[in-house]
Amino acid sequence: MKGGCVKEAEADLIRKAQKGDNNARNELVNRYYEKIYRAAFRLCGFDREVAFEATQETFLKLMTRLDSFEGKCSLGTWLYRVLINECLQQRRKDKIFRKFLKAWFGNGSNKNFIEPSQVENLARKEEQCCIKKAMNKLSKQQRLVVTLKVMEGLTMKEVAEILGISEGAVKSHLFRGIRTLKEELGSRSEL
Amino acid sequence: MRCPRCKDIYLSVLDELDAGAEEELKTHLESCDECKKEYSEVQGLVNYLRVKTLPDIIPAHGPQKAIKRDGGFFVRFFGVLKPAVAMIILVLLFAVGLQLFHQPSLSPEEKEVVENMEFLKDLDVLEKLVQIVDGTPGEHSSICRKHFRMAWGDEIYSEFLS
Repeated sequence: MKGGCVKEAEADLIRKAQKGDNNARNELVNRYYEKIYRAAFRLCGFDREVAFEATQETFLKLMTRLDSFEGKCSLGTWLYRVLINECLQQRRKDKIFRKFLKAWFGNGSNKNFIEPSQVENLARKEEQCCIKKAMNKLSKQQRLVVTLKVMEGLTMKEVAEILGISEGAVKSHLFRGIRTLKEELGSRSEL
Repeated sequence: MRCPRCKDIYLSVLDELDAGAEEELKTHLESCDECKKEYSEVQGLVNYLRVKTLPDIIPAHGPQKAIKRDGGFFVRFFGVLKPAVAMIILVLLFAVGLQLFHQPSLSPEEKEVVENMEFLKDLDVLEKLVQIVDGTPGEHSSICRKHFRMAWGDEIYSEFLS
């Protein structure tokens, strides 16, 4: 492995996983699964199934391409990059097929999820629907930056590395994004 | 928001401001009501976004786990019919394949030869019969000549007889 920015403990784990150690592979998945699913949920417009698919695809790519991972960036950054591409693809697919399929071929409820109480679920969905509408008013870059920085709580440096842009550009997208969201969600966020 | 400290407020809320600038901002906030209001609004928005966008459930994970959906009526109906539809498609493909790779069509002359193949097998018996009926040798028999002309043509007939 090249590069020195991967933390030593994680680098060891990756090395073991690359040699085919299943425990190391499981450990890597466990370490990042929740984080990646949470980001996928936020990036995929709060659709649990799409987020789940994107997460599965991301980890599938991790397993198939682990041998070619050189450690030039941290595994987290690499996973976020893959995830963003997956989420963008899923959103594209979603626009074309999902609405049609849901309308004509059933509601597509997922057996991997246990439904929380209906009232709680409705309130949550309403809030998320408003946030989604507000987020849709942002540009693609602004949306990504706001999701990664504000919601996920990554550092400016990490966001810049994931998106392949400068920290200045991240700040610029962030300020504009927050300003738009404040206008759109101002009254709600004060509640 | 017209105050030039606006960007510092955003950075402070997002924990991106260094210690020195943070102290300066705190001092400024004590004296500027507009910035104080902006700070609390931005902080409220960030907290709102962080909390409300959390997924309610983290699904179980595993490499083999695939999403299974409950389809509607059409999905269930066509799901049952899948093997039948597959069989029909296979039969149709087989039929089309047979048509495509069938032997090339024969010319009228070739067809005539094929039709007369059975007749040619019994040629010896037939010739003897003709000789008995006509009382003449086989090569002069008009019936025999006629039949061979139909099937092979004169040249082949004469070759065959010789």
